[in-house]
Amino acid sequence: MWRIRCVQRTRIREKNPTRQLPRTDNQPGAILISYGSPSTRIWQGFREFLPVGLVIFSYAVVFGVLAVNSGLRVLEACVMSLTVFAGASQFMALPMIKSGASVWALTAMALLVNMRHILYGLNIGKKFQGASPVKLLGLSFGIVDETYAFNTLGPGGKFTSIPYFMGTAMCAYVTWNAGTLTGAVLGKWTPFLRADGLDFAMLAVFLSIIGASIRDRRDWGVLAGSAVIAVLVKHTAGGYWHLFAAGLIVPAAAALFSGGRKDGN
Amino acid sequence: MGIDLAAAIAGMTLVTYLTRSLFTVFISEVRIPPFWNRALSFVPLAVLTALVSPYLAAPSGPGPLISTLNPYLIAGCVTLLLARWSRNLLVSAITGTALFLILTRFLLQ
Repeated sequence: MWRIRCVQRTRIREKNPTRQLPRTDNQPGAILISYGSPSTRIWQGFREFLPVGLVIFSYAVVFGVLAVNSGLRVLEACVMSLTVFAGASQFMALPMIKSGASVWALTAMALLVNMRHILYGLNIGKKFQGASPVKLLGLSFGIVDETYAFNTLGPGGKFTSIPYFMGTAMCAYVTWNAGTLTGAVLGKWTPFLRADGLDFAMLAVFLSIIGASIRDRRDWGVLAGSAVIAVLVKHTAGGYWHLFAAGLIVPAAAALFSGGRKDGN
Repeated sequence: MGIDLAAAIAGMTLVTYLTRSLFTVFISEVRIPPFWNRALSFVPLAVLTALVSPYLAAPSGPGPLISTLNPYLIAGCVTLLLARWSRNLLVSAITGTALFLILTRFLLQ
């Protein structure tokens, strides 16, 4: 997938060589130079993000199906995707909602899980330094794992601009919400997708994300430490304390004894 | 929509937007110490693991600390290792769920 996207990029560059920006683009401030009108750049970002958008769409379908399986209405699932717009925390909210978690537990979980956006925001803010605060406030709603990666490490990293970033964010927003609606409707009216035992599908999605993100022994250590603490705390304290116990102690311990992870995921 | 769910969604929306916007806009005044920078990079992995592991260890809730030979634990570990090895979320999630269904329907009945 990644290679395909890179090839596409090169092809587009060959067609419009004028769009290739100087390398200084990566430095803060320089990014505000933009070629073409803002609406062209928005559309360009939207288009070039589409391959990632398709992946987002498929995750969102899974989210929609699981959401209605967890007892949410189609409308509720859609409103959640429209407003929260953060995959990991939305997925995690489902089993919590199902087991009757409180408003505070859900809010605190979202804060903890989405704290990684702080890192993204710092970098995006640095990239677009000097832009008006209003623009940055609007743009920051579109900071998600995928748009961040695409506009920094990924294909858009070299020449991204505010309109271009907006384009990628719009694409992510549209695909995430279209996918949620599709999945929720599918889940609601396809009895097969509500079969007993499919509650494991949600755990399988989480476990796959965990497994695919493990890089080295340190990550295995975080996994083991987190699992042990979570099981023990859940067994003794109940509720959702295990999320905070493991989510605060283990990263702090890992940061004490080693360097950070290469990516924020 | 229930009032609780609406409040929960509103709360999640608010805190999520704050994590996104605050540091994007007020970048110049803030410097995150390297220690917290490193710690933050481990949070998603730690929280995700913490979320799933109690379900895998004791799926039926309060009871034994760990119930071995339960389909959640077996299929869960297979899914995790498969994802680590294949790096393909779709393959591991579907295979894991299929294994779980086979275990619960046939093998562990």
